[in-house]
Amino acid sequence: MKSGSEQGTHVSSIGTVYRIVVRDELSGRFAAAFEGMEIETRCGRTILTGEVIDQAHLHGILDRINGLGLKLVSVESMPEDPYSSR
Amino acid sequence: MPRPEQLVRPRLLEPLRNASEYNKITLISAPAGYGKTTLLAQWLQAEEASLPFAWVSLDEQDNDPVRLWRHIIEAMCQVALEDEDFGADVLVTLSTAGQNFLEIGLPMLINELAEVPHRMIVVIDDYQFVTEERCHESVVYFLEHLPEKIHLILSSRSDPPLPLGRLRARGEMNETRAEQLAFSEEEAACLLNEKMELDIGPDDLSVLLERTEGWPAAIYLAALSMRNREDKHAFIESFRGSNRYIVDLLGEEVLACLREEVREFLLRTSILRRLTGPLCDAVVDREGSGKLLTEFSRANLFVVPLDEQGEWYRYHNLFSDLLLYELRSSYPELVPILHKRASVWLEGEKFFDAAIRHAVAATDYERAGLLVTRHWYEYVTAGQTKTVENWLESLPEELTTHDPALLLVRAWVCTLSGRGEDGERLLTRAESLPTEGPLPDGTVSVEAGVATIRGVFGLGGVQSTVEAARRAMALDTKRTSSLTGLMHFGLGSSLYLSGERSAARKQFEEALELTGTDQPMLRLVSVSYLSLVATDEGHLEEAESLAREACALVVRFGLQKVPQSSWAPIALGNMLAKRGDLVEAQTTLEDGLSTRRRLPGLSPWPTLIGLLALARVRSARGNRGGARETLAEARTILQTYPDAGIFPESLERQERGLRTIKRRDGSLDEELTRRELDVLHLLASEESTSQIAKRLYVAPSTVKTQVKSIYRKLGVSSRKEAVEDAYARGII
Repeated sequence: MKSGSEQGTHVSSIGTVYRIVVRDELSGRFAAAFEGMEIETRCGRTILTGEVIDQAHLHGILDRINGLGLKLVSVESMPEDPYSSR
Repeated sequence: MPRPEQLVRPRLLEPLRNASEYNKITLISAPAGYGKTTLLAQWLQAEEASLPFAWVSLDEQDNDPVRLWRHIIEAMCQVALEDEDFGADVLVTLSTAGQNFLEIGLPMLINELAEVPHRMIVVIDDYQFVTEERCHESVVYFLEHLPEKIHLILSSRSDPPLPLGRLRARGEMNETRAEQLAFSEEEAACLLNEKMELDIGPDDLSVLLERTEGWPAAIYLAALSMRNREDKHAFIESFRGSNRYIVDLLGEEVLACLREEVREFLLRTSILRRLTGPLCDAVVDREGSGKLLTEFSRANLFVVPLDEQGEWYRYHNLFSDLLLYELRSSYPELVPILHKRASVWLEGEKFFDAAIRHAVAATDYERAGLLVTRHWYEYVTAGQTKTVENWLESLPEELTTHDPALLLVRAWVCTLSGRGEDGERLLTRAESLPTEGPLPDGTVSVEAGVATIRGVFGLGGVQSTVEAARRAMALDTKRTSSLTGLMHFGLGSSLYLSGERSAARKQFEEALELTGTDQPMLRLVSVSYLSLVATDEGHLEEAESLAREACALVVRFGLQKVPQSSWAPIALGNMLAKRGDLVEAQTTLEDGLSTRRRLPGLSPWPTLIGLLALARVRSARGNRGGARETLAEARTILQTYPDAGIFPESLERQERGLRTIKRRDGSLDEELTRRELDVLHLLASEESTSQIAKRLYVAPSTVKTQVKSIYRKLGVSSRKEAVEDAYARGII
């Protein structure tokens, strides 16, 4: 049971943007597996880009990649956009 | 455990067999779709007769040390059949020790396992769901102390953070990885040409193997795609050059060449973890699903059978993912509707747990909450409080803190698990909310529900419990509640605790009238109380038969792990004590009490009954010191419960009895007063009279007078003699 008297989760800061590359190209159908991420395919690779709230979220994405038998090529955090507000 | 499919892979079975004899652990580590589970299932089915195994399939909820080990131990219980009590104590410790489980419970489990006379395999499938550090620590500990006859198999999609290097170096681990699990040419040929009769030539087979890298899931999907194709060679060539994710590519092919009817069926039923004809009919809103499933199974398409009768199936792992994603991307608005249909059918067939899961998946939390409040009692009374707890956790906090019916269920769960204070807080909150009318489980009103809990557990003290129980019954005018029997029990127990035995008996008998065999917990406690009544009245044969009935219920319904099952040994021990079977009485009582001691938040009344009986037994066996210890334990409990019915008097009487001492010639003498006893204890220390006086906050002259009195009553004339005599009599 969730305990504590939280008023409700309030995400105050922007998460980090990650760029995850997997081998092989995914169609829109499997884009649904990675909601909140943008999907781009190029030269036998799929690039997932999107905001990741925290480490747990990131590992969830990586687990899903593993769960689909996809081969992970790289994971990178992207520098923050200097024009975004805190 | 899943049933194995048809393709057998003997080259992989041999290492498993060897490992189970010579290694501590087998690790099967490979991504999804490599056939890990299938391999294990096949192997174990082949070995079934000679090698008992405990199988656990983990899911996300098992990423918690208590849940994980509960799951494992319960699976082990099913294997260790000669020992009905296997793991019972460990499971109780699980509920209480919490953080300290590693230090207390695991060693207990290891010891119990060491006593198992035969070999055992413990399989933990889908270990990748475990990520919590404490879980891994517990598994490492388990591995380090693993008894010889036990072999552990971990199957996971990723390498677990266990000391694998060390295990490898020591030769304690056998590994099977993706490389080994990938299909060989022979195996691919067997599947495609022999089983599925596709007639693929050796060159094409090579290409296929290369492109899929031997990944079994992909090969299987390829086989499905080629079923209805004329030119298989062209097909294989076409995806040889493709860059697409192979499940995506092949999945698309498979879906595209399906009959419309079949495609719709597969997509819609992809939301189900397990499929059966009528359930699928309900979900797709058409008939004929049963036939379809049988056809699929016979042709080795899409589904894996889960039983021998051919009633239940599941989809192949990655195939179901594929279907689900296709469903979500093509028909997103359908998803909650399908989940709701599933939930309704499952509820109708009394699969309440699955019904609730689907309701939650449909985000229909109102319905989910309704199902919980409608059916919680059936699970709780069968000792499955944990399931109800899981349900509550899957509901949004807003709902569980504002719906009075749900607050009541939460209060039950808390109190049963020994968190009575939390329970009371929830009750207070429930009472404060404005509601009217009956609750989904039939209880006439929130007020009645609250009164029932208070009336059953008696945590508010005996007198207030009597009042609560009476109020509950008064409100339950139409006797609509499934809890009516429980109300009678509540009243009966509080009457018993007030000393009104015959009125109590009537209530217990009434409770039993209203209770069927589907409410074993309620039967158990009612019968136990009746046994106590019979013992009090001297009808020992009746008392024994009732107590043994209670014990039989524990065994029959597997209730050893439920704390309230301790009622049975306490009632039995109480009868045995009265009958004079002191040795058996002591063991039985201590058995029941040890369970209750681990959960100090439980209701104190059965514990007190047990303690008083135990004290009598110990004293009768000559262990007056021990008896005094037991009574002291009882007195500590009573300190928290001022309103304690018959207990203060009973306790006082027994304490007095222990202070009475005989002269050497055997005749009873004056009792030592409590103060004199205190002084006597201190005489056994090296302290002087003035030091003793300081300790007791009295004047030294007072102590001197008390000492004189002690000497007189004991018939001694020196401090040394007094202490020796006191020890001999068991006074100190």
